[in-house]
Amino acid sequence: MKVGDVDFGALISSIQTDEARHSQQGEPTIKLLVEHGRKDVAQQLVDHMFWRSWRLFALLTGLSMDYYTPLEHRGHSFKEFMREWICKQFLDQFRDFGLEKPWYWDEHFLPELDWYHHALQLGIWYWRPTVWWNPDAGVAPEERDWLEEKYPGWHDNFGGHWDVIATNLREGRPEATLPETFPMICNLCHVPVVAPAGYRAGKLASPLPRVLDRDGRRYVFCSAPCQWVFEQAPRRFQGHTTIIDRFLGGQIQPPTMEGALAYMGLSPEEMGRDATDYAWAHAAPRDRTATHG
Amino acid sequence: MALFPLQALFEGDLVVLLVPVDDGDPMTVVADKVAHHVVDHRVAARDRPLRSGTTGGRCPTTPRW
Ligand SMILES: [Fe+2]
Ligand SMILES: [Zn+2]
Repeated sequence: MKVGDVDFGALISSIQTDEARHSQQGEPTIKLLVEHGRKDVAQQLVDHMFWRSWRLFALLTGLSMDYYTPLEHRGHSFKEFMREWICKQFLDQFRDFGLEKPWYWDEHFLPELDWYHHALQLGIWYWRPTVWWNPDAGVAPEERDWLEEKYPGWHDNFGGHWDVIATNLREGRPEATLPETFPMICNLCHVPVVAPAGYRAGKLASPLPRVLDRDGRRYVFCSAPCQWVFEQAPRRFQGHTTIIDRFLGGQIQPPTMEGALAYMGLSPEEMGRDATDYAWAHAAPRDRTATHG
Repeated sequence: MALFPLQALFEGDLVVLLVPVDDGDPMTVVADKVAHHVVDHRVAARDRPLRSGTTGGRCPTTPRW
């Protein structure tokens, strides 16, 4: 981007007006539905789309705020941001319309604020050839201290995985930090199934994916709300296949990691690499016994 | 003997994996095939639990078009 780049300015303006229109459609729609006695439909729409939005929001904004933003520029953690703007302001808005918080709020959504995006960060970094940006690990020693402060227990739940990865990098085994197979993908949100991380963090009762056999096809879901969204409107979702379904169904040839990356249209230059060329792994580790007794 | 895809998770790991196994594999071999992707990659060998593999069952069936 250069000063006077008219095309870029026009692009941003177009995106902004587009998003402004979208953001203004929800409230009148809900008001109309409630006025006409269809609060149940309004509630169902909110419950459905809040969960699907959360899945992507945690991935994009959670990682950007807690891992990709340089430490000196971080204000709130992602969890603090979610608590203030979503759990408080956003919920208040729906309560004003006479709607309730989604059914999964306390049992599924709130506990995820402590673990879900941390698991995605590890997964996206590990499967970095499958993304088109260069993921920043964001786990240099001082960044780990910040994560432990904002998310007590982070080191026990996630730091150990990063320790194994960092050891491989320091000892000259970068190939051991790259994937040789795929994660299972949720048939609703299309995000990898990281329930085992939630289970390990003590926030989920089971590490297993949810499995649904329906009309001769087996579906896998990452969470109870994803399965619920699917079962609310199966005809809407049942025809779609995840990248793993396509891999197993023989649509991706050759059926290898390389074949799948080519299917995704990712050339070697486009595949993600560590953003700092592994500098974080070579930073001197802190003695954790002082802060982590 | 035929290859089939298993959705598998390794105790202590963060994600459910797709792992090809053979239907003639004894459970110890299946566990080793799962561990291959995890131990010393995301979970340290010293933290490896005694009962290493837990399988989540067969993968989604090939969808019909
Ligand atoms: Fe939009
Ligand atoms: Zn899902």
